[in-house]
Amino acid sequence: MHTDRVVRQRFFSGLIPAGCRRFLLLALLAVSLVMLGALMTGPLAIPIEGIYRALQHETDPLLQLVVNELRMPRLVLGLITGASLAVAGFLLQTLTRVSIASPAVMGLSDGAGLCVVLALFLGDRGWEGATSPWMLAAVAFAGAGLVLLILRGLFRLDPDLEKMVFSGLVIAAVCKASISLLMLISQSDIAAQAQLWLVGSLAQANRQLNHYLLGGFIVLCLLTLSAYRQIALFRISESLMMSLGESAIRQQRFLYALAAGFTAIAVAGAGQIGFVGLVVPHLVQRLCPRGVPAQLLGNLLCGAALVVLADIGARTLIAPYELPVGIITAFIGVPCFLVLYLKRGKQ
Amino acid sequence: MRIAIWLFAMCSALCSAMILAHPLRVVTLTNDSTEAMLALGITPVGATRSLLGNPWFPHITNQMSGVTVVGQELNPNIELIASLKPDLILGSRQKLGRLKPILTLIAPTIFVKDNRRQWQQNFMTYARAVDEAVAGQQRLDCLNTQINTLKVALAQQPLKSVSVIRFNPGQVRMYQLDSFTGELFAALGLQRPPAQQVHAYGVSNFSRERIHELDADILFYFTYGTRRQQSTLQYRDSFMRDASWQQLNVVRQQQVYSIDDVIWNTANGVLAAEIALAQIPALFSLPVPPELNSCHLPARP
Repeated sequence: MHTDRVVRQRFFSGLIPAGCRRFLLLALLAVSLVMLGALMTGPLAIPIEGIYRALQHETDPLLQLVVNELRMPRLVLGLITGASLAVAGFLLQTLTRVSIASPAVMGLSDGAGLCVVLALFLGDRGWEGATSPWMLAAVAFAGAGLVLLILRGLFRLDPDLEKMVFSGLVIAAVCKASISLLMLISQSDIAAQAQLWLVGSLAQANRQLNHYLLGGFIVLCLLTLSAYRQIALFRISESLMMSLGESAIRQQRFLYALAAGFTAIAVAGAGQIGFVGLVVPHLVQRLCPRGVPAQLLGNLLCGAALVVLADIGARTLIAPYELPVGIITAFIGVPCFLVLYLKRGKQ
Repeated sequence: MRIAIWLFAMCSALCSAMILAHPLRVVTLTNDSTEAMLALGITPVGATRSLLGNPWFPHITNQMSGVTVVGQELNPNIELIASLKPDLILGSRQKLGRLKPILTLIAPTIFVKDNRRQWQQNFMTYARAVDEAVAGQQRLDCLNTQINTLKVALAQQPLKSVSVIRFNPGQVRMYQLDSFTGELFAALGLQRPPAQQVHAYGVSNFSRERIHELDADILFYFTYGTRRQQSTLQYRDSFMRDASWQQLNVVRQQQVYSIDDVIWNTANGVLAAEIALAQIPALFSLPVPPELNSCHLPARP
C-alpha cells in the first residue's frame, strides 16, 4: 500500500518516498486552510463567499480593497518569506551538517538586516533611491552574501563546519550591535520604525515589493530544484561530497549563494523573522526523512504555513494594535525546536 | 482595478465635499493632525493612539469620545482605517511615508513633511485639507497675538536664555531650534545657549561631559513617559547629582523646572501649543501676568 513513487518526467525525475506523500498532502491542506484564514480574519470578518466575490471584483469596493490590496499582498509576502526562510535553513543545515544552522543563527539575517537598516537611514537622510524595494532586496543580498563570504573565509583558515556556524553567532552579534548603534545615533522615530522592522513584520506588504520578491523567489526555487541531486549528495556524507573534488566545492558555493538569496528575500520583505529557518527543516526532516525534492517542497509549504499562521495571530491577538510577527514565530518556534532537538538527541 | 478604486475614492471624496450630505470623515494618523481637527471643530472618525496615552493624551481625551483607535502612530491598522470609510486621511511623511501609496487607495491622503517641526505650517496644511483655511488662519492669528503679548512681557524680565533637555530612559536629549520648544521659544523672543542655537532637532545621547553647555538663565526639562517612568526619574536624579550639573549657574540660581513632556514636546499640536503658552507666565514668574485673548472657537452646531 505504501510504496515509494518514482517520478520520471522530461525535466525532472526523482523519488517521492511513501510516507512523504501524506505529509505533503497534509502540508498543502494546512497551507490552503491558513491562506483562507488569513483572507477571512481581520477587523472586517469576510465569509468565504465574500472573498470569492472580492477576488472576482464583484462586490463593494471596500471589500475589494481589503481583500485585494491589503490582505492579499500580506498573505503573499507571508508565504514568500516563510518559504524562503525554511528553504534557506534547510540548505544551510544540509551544507554545514550542523543541526542549529539557520539564517538567523549564522548571522545571515543580521547581515542582511544591517544593510537594510543602513539603506533605511540613507533614505531618511535624503537619498530617496535607497529605500526602493529593488534596492532593499539588493542590499539585503549583499549583506547576507558578505556574512557568508566572511564565514567561508574563516572556514578556509580552519576547516571545521561547526566552528564556522558558531562564528556566525559572533558576526550576528556584531551586526546587532551595529544596528543598535545606528538606531542610537538617529532620530528616535526612525529608530522606532526600524525596530518594528527588525523584529519582523508583514505590515509593509505591498504589491510592488511582492512582484520583485516573488520573481526572485521563483528563480531561486527553480535553481534550487535544479541542484537537488547535489543537495542529496551533500546530505548523504561529507566525505562523499569532498571526494567529488572541485566541482563539489563549486556546487557548494552555489548552494550557499542560494541560501543567501533566500535569506535576502525574506529579510527585504519582512525583516527578521526568527526561528522559521531553524524549526521547519527539523520538522520536515522528522516527518519526511528521505527524498530531497519532497523535503524541499515540505519546507516550502511548512515555512509558508507557519509564517502566515503567525501573522494571523500578530494581526488579531491585540487588535487594533499589531504584534511583530517575529515574536509569534519565536513563541511557536522555540518550544517546537526544543522538543524536536531533544528527541533527536535521544535517537 | 487600482485605478478604479482610486477613482471611486476620489469621487466619493469630491461628492461628499460638494454635497456635504454628511460631515467629513477624517482619519488622523498623528497626534498633531488629530489636534488640528479638534481645533477646527472636527472630530476624527479614527485616530492613532497617542504616543503615551491610554489611548489618548490627557489634554484631548474629553474631545475624543467615540473615536476609533486605529493602531499605533508608527504602525496603523490599515484595514481598520479602510473599514471606517474615511473621506480624508491626514498624517506625516516622516512617520508614515512608506504607507502613502496604500492609504491613497482608501481615501485622499495628505501628509505634512515632518510633524515634529513647523507646527504652524503643518496646522495650516491640515486646515486647507479640510477646506477650513480661513478658520485655521484665524486660530493661528489668535495664537500669534498671544505669542506677541507674551513676547512683550518676557522682554521686561531678566531671564533671557532658555535651555531645554529631556530625560529619556538611560539618556539625555538636548533640544535645538527645529523642534516644538525651539520654535515656540524663538517666537517668544527668547535666546538659547550656543549649543542649542543650531538649526537641527536635537542631540540624542547627550554626553555628561558637555553638561556645561547647558547653562542658561532658565532650564526646562521633560521626562519621557507618563507611566512606569521610575527608572527615568532615577536616571534624572543621578544626572543631577553630577558635579558639573551642580556647577551650572542655572542650577545655583534654582531656575530648573520640570515641564510636561506631552504638552511641551510629544504632542506637537496646536492645542498643546495653546496650553503651553498659558503656562509661560507662571514658569517665568511674570509679576504681572499679561491678559491672553481666548482662542477657542464657538462649538459647531
